[in-house]
Amino acid sequence: MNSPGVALADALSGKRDLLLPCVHCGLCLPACPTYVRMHDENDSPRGRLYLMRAVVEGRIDPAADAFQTHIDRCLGCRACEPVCPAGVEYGTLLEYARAVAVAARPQPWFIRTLLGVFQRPGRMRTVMRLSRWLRASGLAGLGAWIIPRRWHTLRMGLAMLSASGGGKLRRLGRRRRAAPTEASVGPPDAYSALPDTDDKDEVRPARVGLLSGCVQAGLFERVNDATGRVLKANGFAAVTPSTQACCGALHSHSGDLEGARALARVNIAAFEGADVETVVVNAAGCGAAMKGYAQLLADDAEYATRAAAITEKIVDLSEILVRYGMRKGAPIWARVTYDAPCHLLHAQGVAEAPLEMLRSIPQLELVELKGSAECCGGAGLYGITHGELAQSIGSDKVDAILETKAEAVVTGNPGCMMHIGAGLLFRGAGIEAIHPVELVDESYRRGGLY
Amino acid sequence: MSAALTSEVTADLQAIVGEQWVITDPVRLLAYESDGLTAYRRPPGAVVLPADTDDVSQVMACLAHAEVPVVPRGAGTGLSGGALAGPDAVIVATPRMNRIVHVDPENRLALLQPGVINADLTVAARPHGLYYAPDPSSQSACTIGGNVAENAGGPHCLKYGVTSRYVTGLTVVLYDGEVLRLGGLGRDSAGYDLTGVFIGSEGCFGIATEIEVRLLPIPQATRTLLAMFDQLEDAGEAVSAIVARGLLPAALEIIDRETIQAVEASIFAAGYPVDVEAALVIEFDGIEAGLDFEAEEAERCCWEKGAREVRRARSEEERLALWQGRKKAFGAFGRVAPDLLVQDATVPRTRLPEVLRAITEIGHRYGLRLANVFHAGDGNLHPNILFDRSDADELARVEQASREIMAVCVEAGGTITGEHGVGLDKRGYMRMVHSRDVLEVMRATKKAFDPWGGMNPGKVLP
Amino acid sequence: MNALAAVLSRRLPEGQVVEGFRAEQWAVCDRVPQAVVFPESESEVAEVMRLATQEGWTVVPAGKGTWLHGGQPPGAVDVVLSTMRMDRITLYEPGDLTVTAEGGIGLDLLARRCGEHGQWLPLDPPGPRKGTLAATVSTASSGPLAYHHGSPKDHVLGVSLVTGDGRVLELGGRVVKNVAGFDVLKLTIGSWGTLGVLTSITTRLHPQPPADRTVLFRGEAAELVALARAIATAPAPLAALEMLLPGERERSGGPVSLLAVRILEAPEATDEICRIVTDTAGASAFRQMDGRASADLFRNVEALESGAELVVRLSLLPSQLEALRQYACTLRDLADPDEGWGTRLAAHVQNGILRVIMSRMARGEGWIDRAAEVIERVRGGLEAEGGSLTLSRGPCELVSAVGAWGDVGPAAPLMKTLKREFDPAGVLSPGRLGFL
Repeated sequence: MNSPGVALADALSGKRDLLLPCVHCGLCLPACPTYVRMHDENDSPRGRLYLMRAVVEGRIDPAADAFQTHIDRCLGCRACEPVCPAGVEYGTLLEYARAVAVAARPQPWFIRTLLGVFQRPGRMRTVMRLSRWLRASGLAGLGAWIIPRRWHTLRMGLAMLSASGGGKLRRLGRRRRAAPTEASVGPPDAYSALPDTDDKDEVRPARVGLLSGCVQAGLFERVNDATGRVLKANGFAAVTPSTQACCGALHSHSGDLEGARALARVNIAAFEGADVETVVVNAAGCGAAMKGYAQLLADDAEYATRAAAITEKIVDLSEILVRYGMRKGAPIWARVTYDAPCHLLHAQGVAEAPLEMLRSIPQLELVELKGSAECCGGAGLYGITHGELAQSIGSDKVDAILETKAEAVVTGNPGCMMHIGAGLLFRGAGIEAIHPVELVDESYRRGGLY
Repeated sequence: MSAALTSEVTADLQAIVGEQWVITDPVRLLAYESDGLTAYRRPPGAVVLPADTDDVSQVMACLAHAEVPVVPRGAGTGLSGGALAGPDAVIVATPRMNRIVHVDPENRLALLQPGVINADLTVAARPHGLYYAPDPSSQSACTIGGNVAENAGGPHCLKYGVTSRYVTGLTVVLYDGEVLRLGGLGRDSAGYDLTGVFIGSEGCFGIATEIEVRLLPIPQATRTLLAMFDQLEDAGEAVSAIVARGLLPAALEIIDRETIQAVEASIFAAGYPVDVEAALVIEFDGIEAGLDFEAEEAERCCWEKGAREVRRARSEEERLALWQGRKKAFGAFGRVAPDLLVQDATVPRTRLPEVLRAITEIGHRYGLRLANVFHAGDGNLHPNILFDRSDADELARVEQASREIMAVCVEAGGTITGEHGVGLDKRGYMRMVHSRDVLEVMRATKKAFDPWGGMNPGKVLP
Repeated sequence: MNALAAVLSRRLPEGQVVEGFRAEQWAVCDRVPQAVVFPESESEVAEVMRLATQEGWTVVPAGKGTWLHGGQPPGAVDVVLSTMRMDRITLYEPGDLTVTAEGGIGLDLLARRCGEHGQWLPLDPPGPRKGTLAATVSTASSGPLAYHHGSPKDHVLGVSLVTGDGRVLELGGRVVKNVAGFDVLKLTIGSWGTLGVLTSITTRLHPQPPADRTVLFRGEAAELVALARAIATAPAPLAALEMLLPGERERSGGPVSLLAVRILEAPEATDEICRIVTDTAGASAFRQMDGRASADLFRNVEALESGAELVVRLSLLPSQLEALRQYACTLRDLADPDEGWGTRLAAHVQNGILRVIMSRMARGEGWIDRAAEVIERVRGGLEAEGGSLTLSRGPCELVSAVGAWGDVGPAAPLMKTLKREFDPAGVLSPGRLGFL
């Protein structure tokens, strides 16, 4: 389906130097959500790296069932990277391995079709319009309820779509209540002016680029809108170049490296044209992908330097807000919990910023989520392609969320919001997954900041 | 033993544990061809993942009936090749048996399945103010079952002792499927200490399927120091001085220049100066009152022995930072050289300086890169040889040099392995430390547990 | 001179073989040996054992005779082999915190030599201090210090063992961490001389504690049990926690029940631990003893079993201390009522061990049967709860009748196989461990 010309089996071989540092110590095993559930070392980072090495060494054929299955079964959550004492760049290797796997044995038609859609803005818009209609009409939610479990892909897809709708935020935490004692609670006093940035080392950039994203733009327009308002309230003017495209994360995660590169080139050109020093991304998966452009295009003579330059400019929304200090809005008397998106925590190493963002909201009670660092099972298309396993992982996540008795779970990635949201929907939990910026936006709105 | 891993046998195994818990696809078996030591590659005939004692017993009985050898495996973090099976043998792996049956704070005990991860036990015990003392460097991944098999140590053995000190009872399954309950706190077991001899038997006697361990109260406070030396031997002298002063630190760890440089070049750079010859990590723990005094005494010992700099952790973050260089050393070598040979000899503490001198000399003589990381407090050396296996000449020199290093350690009154176990890797050295009679008794002891010879054959004994 | 002693005398240097009435004081339980030998070297020990295997003489290893009346009476005793003349320290490098000594060294002598360097071996087995290291290791004896500091299996790093057929095995080594091969050494610890004669032992040492303090509480037995359990789970390193109760039915004016909490830490830490202990107890201590006084108190605990006719060791999980005490109370009727205050109960609180120490048992027609019946009933109850009952010492008829140890279960054949490997002719202390 993809990749003209390039012998993809060589791609992995070319990354041999990335494979060698793995000393086979096994410290990654317990960090891996699939190993912890499947108990097979082939479903662990070490095992997958070993399979990759076996391909490179010519010991196994990448078309072999085992290679296909286990490489495919990886969530790509990269929880193994922070625990690896040798610093193996697992995420990068996985993308090459996926490319090798896909070249050896094409993916199912619906994945190929889906990825194709993401590459063509016109079709993308059509699909998203249809999706929004399904969602708005309530058919998505209805479908998720009535479709039998065995049609998992469709059922899950509709549930995720339905869960993306949001809508409960306006009612969240309106009633004043006594401050709880045990958990961390945001500052009591509301309203503040833009924090003085004179004491900061860096100069606040006035203009920043903003990635609209594809799913984000199509299904989470409210998050993008909130992002724009919150950035503006904090003194940043956001520009969204119209020529930008999908970030390509889904493509590289699915082994379509050429497709990902093509999209990367489009985005590089688009943001170069926008003349900004910073590119803000509000979706963890997209941010991680864009921070990986340099690696992705390292061998591209024309784009290597440009990719490296743009990579330097990518920041997660939470990073930029927290770095320069945030204004405070009105109190939200609600108990929420935070689930760390893997591609923010593990891939980008951003742990504290989103929490600080939430702590800036007066009276918001933030309770710790057990296993927050573990993947929710959403993992891009994983929730759809690996139904059973994704649901087992997702179900543990939902259990942990319900245990916190939170009124909403906050996470900064559309895939996670939908997957967790679907899980909550199936449970009839009555709470939503929301983006941190939505909460900040709501607090600002109630505070009359705009 | 005539191996016969036929499709009937694998079908029987599937009937016992369920189809998805038996791995037979040759490609999937590759992941099991090595453990934490990659020098050996031996894909097993199959891997079975039982869920409990009953499963293990039935699996073993089935394999014993078919005369197929069994190799137990936990997380596969071992460093002596002990968890490797040949194509005619079956790996019985414990990761599904990862349940903490109970934590009993009243009796300071925990009952565990063997697949429980060492660090997870401490997490489970923490709400009760307790922890599990043995902390091998791989504790975030290694299993208690593996710890029992290897009699695992760790940096805090100096004060707290090794695994055998903390295991109070075992349920073990022998090769023929027989289930034996050994020991247990709260009873004087009649006869010989079979629990004791089972610990450290490297999977050659049977599989421990339930493990009862003692927990300790979490120390009230810790003090951690990091001392830098311009001479490796000075660091060794400082260790002796601390011990001579009657202090008993929880840990005394040395890493040398080569190791510091490897860590500092890695993503885990710990901020150690790269131009010192040795860094000594000293930790005290216990009751808060009086700990400062002990730390000051130890610091004085370091200055007296010519330390260039001594850092003291002021917070838990700083403590972890001081440990970082030690804890990340092993992985950091992965970025320095394609292959790594980890040694594990132990020598009497007072012989450390001279043994270190000899090891350095051997490294020079063979033109090899040596990096030393060791538990100085209990004389447990880890000289690591960094090399490239594809260079046949270098490989030969590595083998020669490691044999000489072993000889030096044994000559000094030491032994060939302090905590990694013999496994496949060090069988060749066993005759350096044991007489024929002793080896014969070891063989007979194995035979008493495993008269069939089906448990982890070809390991430990030469 | 009997024939056996004559053969031995020809093989060993002069003065090493004793027979006749002088052998009587070396009777093992009530079995008087034909000869007692006092070899002075490992090779002489090996010579005796080779000879014994060849001739089929049964040999019981001994030290200074502390344990001759303990354990199960052996089936037969031809020779008692005492290692008491082998009492040299062969290698002591204080910087290594280890010492190697011949098996016959007395714990007192060893303590003196190590004390000169500020070090000690924290073992406090019951019995006189002169008792030998080899006997302590061979019987795996320990006392109140065991919970915190460890028992012989935690201290011993290596041994030389002369097997039944005279092979000399160097097991373990001199270093603290050693996993070179199977830990056969562990089998010999607590093997009661059924696997071989311990001729040399290397053990760990510790720095001597900078301070020694014991805090005493007193009260009614049941109260003290609750107090003991509370203190046992306090977050503080206690060197020992020993409960001492009178064994008679409660009478006014009798000896009081005591709980002794021993702390062996640096002075500042000691004060802090004391505070934690009294806070946990919610009661103030009845007395505090420091230094020599504290050590002496525990020396008296070591001596509790001396001269006793019956010592029964009951064991359950530590949390079941009260149940243990109840079981102990059912045993007290075995005591001679005319022997005032002749029974003591002593519990290692943290380990769940309670000893019933009786200076003299009640006699009368059928007393053995009656005692056996009571002991078996208690043993049955304890075993059903996962515990055990061991007769550390007692009248031979009684110990023979009920067995010193409980049933070993399905591991028995395995142990017998091991025994055969060390002692092919079965000449070493046969029956000393019951079935072994």
